[in-house]
Amino acid sequence: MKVLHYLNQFFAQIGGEEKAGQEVLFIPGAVGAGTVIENALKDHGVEYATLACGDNYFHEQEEKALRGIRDALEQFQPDLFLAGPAFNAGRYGLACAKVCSWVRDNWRIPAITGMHEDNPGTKEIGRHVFVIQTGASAASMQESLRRFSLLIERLLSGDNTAIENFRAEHCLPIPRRFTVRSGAPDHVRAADLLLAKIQGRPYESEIPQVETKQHPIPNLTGKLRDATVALVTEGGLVPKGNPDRLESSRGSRYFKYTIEGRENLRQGEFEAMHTGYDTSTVDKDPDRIVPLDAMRVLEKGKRFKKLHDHYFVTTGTGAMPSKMEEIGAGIAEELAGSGVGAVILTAT
Amino acid sequence: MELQLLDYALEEIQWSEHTALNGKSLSVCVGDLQEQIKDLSHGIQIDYELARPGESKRIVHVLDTVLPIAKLNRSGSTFPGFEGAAQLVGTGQTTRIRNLLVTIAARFPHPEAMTPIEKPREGMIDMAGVGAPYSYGSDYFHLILALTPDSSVSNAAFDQALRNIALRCARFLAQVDKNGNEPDRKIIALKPVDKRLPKVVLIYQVQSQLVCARTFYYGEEVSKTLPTFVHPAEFFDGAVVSGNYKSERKIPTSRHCANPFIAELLERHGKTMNFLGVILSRGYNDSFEQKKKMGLWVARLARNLGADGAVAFMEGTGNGTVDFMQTVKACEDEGIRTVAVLHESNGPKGYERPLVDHPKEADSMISRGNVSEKIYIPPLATVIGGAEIDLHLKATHDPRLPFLFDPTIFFGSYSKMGDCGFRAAYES
Repeated sequence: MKVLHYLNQFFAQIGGEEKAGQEVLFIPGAVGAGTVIENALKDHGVEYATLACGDNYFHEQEEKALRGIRDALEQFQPDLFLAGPAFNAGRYGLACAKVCSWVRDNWRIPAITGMHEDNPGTKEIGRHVFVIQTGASAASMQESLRRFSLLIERLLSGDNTAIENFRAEHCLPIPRRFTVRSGAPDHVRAADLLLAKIQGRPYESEIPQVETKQHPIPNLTGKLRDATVALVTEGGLVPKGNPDRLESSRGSRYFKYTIEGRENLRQGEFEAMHTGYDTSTVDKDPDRIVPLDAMRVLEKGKRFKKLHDHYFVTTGTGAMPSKMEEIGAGIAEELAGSGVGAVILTAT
Repeated sequence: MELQLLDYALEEIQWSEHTALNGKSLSVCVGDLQEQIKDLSHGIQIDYELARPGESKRIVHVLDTVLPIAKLNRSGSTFPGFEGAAQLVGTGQTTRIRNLLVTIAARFPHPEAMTPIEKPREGMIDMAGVGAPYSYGSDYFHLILALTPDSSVSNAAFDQALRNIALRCARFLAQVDKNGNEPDRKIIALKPVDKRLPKVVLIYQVQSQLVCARTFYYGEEVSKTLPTFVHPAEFFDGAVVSGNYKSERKIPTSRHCANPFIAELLERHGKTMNFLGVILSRGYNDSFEQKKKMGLWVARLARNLGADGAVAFMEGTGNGTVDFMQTVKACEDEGIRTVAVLHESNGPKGYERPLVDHPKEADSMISRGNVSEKIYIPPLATVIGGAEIDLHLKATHDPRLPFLFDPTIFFGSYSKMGDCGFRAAYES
């Protein structure tokens, strides 16, 4: 059996923060923590290799790093992939989670990592990746590696009950929803559930109510007439031709475009990239999604001090809420940094 | 009101010199199809292909599938409103081939002239393998028409042509000579039943927004109608036709004609419930106020029909979820106990909020699974309909190669995942 083990520059004993830019490096044999696992598995005829990668390199050059990992997988053809343990190291944990998920999805071999429950990497664990619970620091190294070895032995034995027992006992319980087979079509379950509901029998919804994070609208500090106001939209309005290639759905980015010196947004100069609503009215009059014409009137009437020179835009359709939160936070940070005190946010 | 359905099923399909159904084997002559649609296909090149359940075939660019249905004795026409003057349907006799689809695979002639929302989304049908339980139609025989329009055809003309070609072929195939086979005969009706049984309506919310994302009722866009009562038998005669190319979410025309929810409630009618019929409503209204009103009107109609309960499903996602949830809320507020069926978008890593909108009244949901989960999609032996697929306007892919994507790449996947009994659950 061949095992490939991903470690960051520190645990691969290449160096500290000064080596965080280390690109993906294939090292035949085990290094550091890997030697403990290799030793524990010595009766199983394991061929071991190590992948070392700097934490900064992984996050700044993720695509390149994954290409490097793919090359190593093609070359070494492992049967099992390990990463970490990362304990509570955030950047390392994220890298371990992403690498394991990528390998499990694309290479379809078992992938195991380990981290502490507070590690942000827990948000990036793909389906079927084993995440062994560890302590917050490398003080729990020995116990963590013992668990890695135990899980590998159980995987080798193919004993599913033992694997599931291990998962229950030692893997992080991360509440994530995935597709499973219920055993009956939706229309049958729906009719059954309805009859239970009508007849007053106990019933359970298959989709839980999830508490959403509340974002109270902050009060304006100072007076509106002294404030700089910005226009922000999720309606996908971009300069004609979409120079930055804003996605029309599953938006992953936001952009800002200048409106300095413009009295309104004219037809033919802007267009909307958005698959969630009928954009034809906005294409005819872009002011109807980014109301520059009205804002200039109010600005001249001194209802507020100044309109911010850029409007901000993303596409609010088909995307994941966590990505939208990230985009929102990015826009808010930029606006706050430019002295903007109030925002008009137009949604579709 | 009563419809008699004469139901045929295939076990084989092949090309032949003559078009006929002999026993359970359908022979199709391409020349007969060409003759049927010659006035509809100007400027459109058509390749004809076959696919059978379990074959290692991948059909790409699928825009719609249509079930062969035709009125017997020429009494009126199936798919009313699409050929000649519309007449009421849902009575008399209808012939159907229940496991054959006329499948249209095509790209529009001028995609650059379409706004983002008009652009069709890629939809493929895998007849075997990992993709089959995500592909609507993987358990049907397919007569595939791969259309290639030349640049003289406008987008609007092509939209009409592809629909009319499919509907006419479907009517034609249902009418072919039949030898050595007896159909299953079924009566589609809502006969009076024990009055003590709970009264149930089916709420049927379709996507109808604009061209290429619309649904027709008797040939009229549902976006121009109010929520309305439809008798189940009308669906079997093709009263509802899809013009929606939001591939993974769409309810194909064939599914409007043979909807498992309608079949399920008809089956239970008189046994455990009193099925009152269907309320056809529209999602994707433009404003929140409109969405709310649509919900109120559905609830009012259900109340006036005397419903104690409702099963509700919707076509679409995101935007349409708000209309749907307003409908569920309004029904519950009217005292109509409602079960709502929906897909979840929990993200590739499974931890995202399942639904974009989830009011507390929607307390009895049925899940169709996580549609944003990544699946590894291996290649199949043959690709029909195109040499390159569009990964939802972000990238293109050679469909002969394996790739990692979510179920949204499959035609009718949201419905199909429900049919297959998929649901989302917390990983233990």
